[in-house]
Amino acid sequence: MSEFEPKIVGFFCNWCTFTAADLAGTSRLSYPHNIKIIRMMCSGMVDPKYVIKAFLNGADGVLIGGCWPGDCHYINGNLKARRRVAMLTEILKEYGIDEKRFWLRWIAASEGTMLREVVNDMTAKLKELGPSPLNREALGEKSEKAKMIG
Amino acid sequence: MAEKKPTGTVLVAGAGISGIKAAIELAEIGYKVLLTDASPQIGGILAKLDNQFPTDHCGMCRMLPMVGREYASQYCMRKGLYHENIEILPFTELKSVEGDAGNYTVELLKKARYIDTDKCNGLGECIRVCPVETADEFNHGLTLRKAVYKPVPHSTPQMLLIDMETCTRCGECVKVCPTNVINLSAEDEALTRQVHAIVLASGVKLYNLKDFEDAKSWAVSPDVVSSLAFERIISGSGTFDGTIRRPSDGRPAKKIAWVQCMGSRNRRQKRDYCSSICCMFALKEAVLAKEKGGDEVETTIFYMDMRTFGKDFYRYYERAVDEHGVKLIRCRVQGVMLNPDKSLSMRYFDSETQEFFVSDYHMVVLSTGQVPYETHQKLADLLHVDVDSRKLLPTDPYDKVKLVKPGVFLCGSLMGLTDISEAVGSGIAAAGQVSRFLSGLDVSLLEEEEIPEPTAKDRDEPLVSVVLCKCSEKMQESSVDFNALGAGLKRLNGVGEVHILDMLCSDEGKQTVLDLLAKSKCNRLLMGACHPFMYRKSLKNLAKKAGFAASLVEITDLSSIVHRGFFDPQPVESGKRDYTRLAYNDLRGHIENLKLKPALHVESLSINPAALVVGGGIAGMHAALSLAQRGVEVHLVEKTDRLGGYAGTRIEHTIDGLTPVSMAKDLAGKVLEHKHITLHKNCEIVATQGSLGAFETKIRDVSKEENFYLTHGAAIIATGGHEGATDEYEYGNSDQILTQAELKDGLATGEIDVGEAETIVMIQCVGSRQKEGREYCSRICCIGAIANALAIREKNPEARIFILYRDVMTYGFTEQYYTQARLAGIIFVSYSLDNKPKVELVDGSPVITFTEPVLNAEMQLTPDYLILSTGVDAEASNREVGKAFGLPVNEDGFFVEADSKWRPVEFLKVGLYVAGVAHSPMTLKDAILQAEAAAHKTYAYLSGRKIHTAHTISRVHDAICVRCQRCVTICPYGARSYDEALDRIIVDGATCQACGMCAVECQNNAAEIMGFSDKQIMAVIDAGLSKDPVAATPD
Repeated sequence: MSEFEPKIVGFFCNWCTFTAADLAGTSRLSYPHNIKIIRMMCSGMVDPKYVIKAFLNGADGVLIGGCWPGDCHYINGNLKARRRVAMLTEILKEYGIDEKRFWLRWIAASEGTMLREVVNDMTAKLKELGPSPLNREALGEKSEKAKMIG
Repeated sequence: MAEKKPTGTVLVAGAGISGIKAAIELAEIGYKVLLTDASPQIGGILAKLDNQFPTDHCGMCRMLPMVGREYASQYCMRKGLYHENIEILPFTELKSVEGDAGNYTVELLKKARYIDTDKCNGLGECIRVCPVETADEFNHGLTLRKAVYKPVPHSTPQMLLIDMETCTRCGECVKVCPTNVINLSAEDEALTRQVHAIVLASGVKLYNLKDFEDAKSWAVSPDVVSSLAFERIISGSGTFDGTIRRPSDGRPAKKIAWVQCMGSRNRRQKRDYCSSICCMFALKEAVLAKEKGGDEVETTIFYMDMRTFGKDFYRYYERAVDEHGVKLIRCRVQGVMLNPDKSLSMRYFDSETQEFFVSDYHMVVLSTGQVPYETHQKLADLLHVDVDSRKLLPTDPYDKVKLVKPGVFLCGSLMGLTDISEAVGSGIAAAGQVSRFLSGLDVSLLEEEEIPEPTAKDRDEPLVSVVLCKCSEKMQESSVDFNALGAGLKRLNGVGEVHILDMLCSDEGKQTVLDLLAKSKCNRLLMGACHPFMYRKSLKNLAKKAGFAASLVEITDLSSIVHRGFFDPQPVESGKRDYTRLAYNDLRGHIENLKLKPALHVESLSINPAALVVGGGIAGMHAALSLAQRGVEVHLVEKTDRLGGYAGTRIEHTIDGLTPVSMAKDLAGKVLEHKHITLHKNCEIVATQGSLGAFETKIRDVSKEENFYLTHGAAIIATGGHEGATDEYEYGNSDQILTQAELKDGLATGEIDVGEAETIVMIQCVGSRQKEGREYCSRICCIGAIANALAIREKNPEARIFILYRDVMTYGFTEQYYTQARLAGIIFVSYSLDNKPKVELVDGSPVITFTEPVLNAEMQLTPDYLILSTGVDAEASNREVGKAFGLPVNEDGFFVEADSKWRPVEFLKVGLYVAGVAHSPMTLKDAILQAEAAAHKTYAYLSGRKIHTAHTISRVHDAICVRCQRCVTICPYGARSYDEALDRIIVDGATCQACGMCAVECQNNAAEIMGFSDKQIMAVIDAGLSKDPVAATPD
């Protein structure tokens, strides 16, 4: 069987992290295809239900990328994101989603290298962790938990 | 029919931040702008700066327009910029300017890049094959680049060019270019344009290490770098990926020293000025070094005076020293020695311990200052004017942005030595002056574009047309199987047609698309093409031509997937499968999103075209006149019974020869005469309600003891300030102890006679720059003290004059007055906060005791006069005015602007602006500059042009809204409010920036960002994780 390839959904802020991803692309800093990037205007625009939805659809990890504190184009959306992520992490844990699967990172527009490192790092950590309990495809229908929730 | 008036066109020469700001401001109000820059890219020095204090990151995108934001680019500004009304011409020099005011013919020289950047797809194959390697200027020679290169690595479009000085003309790049856009024999192109006004914004250079006369004492190692090079070293996109290493061997730099005043404050080099920015620059870099390198990094700054004069600069300084442990040593170091282990030694005298030390450092950063003068003579020749006595472009004595030649304005560092917020502010002010100038000419604005309502077709069942660009023939062996991709997409529900084309960017490509779309029955369009930023403008226009509603067109970046596949070393077959899937999922996400997207429309806002100006000081009067001159009705509210404010009634002369009192009289005369200005004296602001375009303010006439209401579309707060109060140093207990203002008045009236005085002592920073009291520098007291000291010196050459100071804040060109004072024998003695001078009264006369740091001895003086520099206090009424308008006031009592660097005269609440000392202590010229800027920001809304909301904006679904008002609380812009009468949540369409906070906060999905609905995002997540086989591929 081929190696487990985790699926990551990245919600990236338009102004910083999405730009960094773009920079990584144009600078040919290759990062794994494991990540599906969804552009949001602000990290503070990421509704917790989007994160839950991604996990329910079988994502092995979710990465929210925003501007550094103080840099938010919308004043303080990133701080609101931070508050929500802290809360959501606790809720996800209750449902068996390891907190190591849900990351929030500040990545500025110029930090293409950092973006690549974060994605590489997350991919590696998720490989160690194995598929998410909700990733039915990777686990096969055997997973009891998947059956229960799905 | 009358002949059509020409469209007002402005040349902005110089695309650094001030030029960009001026261009955006002019474009926003409907003028056509040509934005040129002599260098191959835009952004100026800021393109290299990833980090700016006080946040230590970047906030440049906040400079983008707030209203009409959809006409401009909506992405990171350091990548680039577009605006519908701005034509950007990088690598273009201004060659000549002929003609008269309002009718200039400019000749421009567009230098050859040898690459047609309009058609380059940014693949970068040319860079890969280029055999030449040379030092990269962007990273200050710390890295290498090819002969064909991107001048700013993070810019988009990538704006490649070929450096013909190093190019060997081997032609390899021409062979590999997939789009055939390289022409090695391209030539410079001369352009002639007619413009009505010119803004010069060519900026300054920073002092170059190599130009040092005494370079040999400094340039001893590659580890001695300039401050800008250090910025590149720590940058995430710089030399070492954001880690701090020394250039010589790449080893971590743990001990770093900054040496201030390199190339400035140096009379021997005929550079008798202060570069103004380096102190904060060095503090920021030292803090960043600590943040990025960890606590074990030691940072030391060698300085002469720590010039932290701007708003909140002193608090940053305190944080740097107290929280981050940045070490400051007051000593002008004379050189660096290279040790055999490559470390760098510097010898210095520590005045605190009175000892000489030699310390070793891994890296030495030289704070190389701004160099004025260089371009002034050249520009003066171009414009046929003479430089002034300081060898600078001759400007209006009060208006720093106004050149003596009508219709020509300047901004940014060309005016003098400016930091970011001054550069941005001056850009707005220059735009304001241009707009005032053009309002007097017979020119028109660009025609307002009719924004079409969504048609019946747009509201029909969604049917998506997908247009994909394969790029060129040379990319055929690409990683994406376009046939399979197209077939897969065609199968999807809601996709009407899929067109796959070559070179969408070419004219033929565009025509083919137009022909295809003309026959289309689809009502939504997805273009998967090049880098979305690159062609967004032209593809959008294409979609418009083809009859698609703007909100129903998506342009997505297919090329980066294609390019990534192109460079992926994995075998073609598996690669093809991977990348085809990647592209399929990505496009499918966009299709699902488009299908759910409603046809959005915009609304035009009703704007009351009157302005309210609070405060009848010089800033307030200037702002009022600037608006009135452009036909705006202005209500000027002043709480006292006379105009002029503090400066306009108290300061007769300034050191640079200005006469604020007579200037204020002149302004007051114009204010009283102006038919568009209504003056309300003895009036106070009680309360305000409403938002941009429709404010209503309750005003109390104190003399008549009655209230009245004014309605206005916007307001400028210019409440000013006054000399600070003190009870320190026995003030008030002796008539020999005076404040600087009292001394000035006394000297002017002759009440104070210094003719017989033997000793006069002045103490600076009384109650300022300390935790208890004014925790800021008042900016004007050092210059004021020097002015008074020189005036005394003139009357009494024998008197001994001492100025006891902490740091002499004679920034910019005012340094020369400091020099002049020292040459005139005025004695400057520094003291520190923990060892302040002591004053006691002996027989009613002050006796002052202080430590003389050079002699390291205690001294006692019995002066005839003790003069205290008590700083500038904010108006006490600021808190009430702030409360009335719902505006923040900081702990010092000054108003808090939206962003200290990028939005210096705006408040977060749209429609309200700040000018003058209400913002922070500042000089008269700076207050006038801010007043002009605030007036222009106001004018942008009140000019009578239609102001539309954006397409993407927050809305309320009243039926499911429970009126909990949580969205009102969370909105960072105050764009939402609860209307009790209507029992509804109201969204202010001009203020909303569509950040989406309300939509997340709302528990009922009653708040929604149009075009970013939950349904859409859910569908995108579904598509992104979908495992559906791509049709016809063995998936």
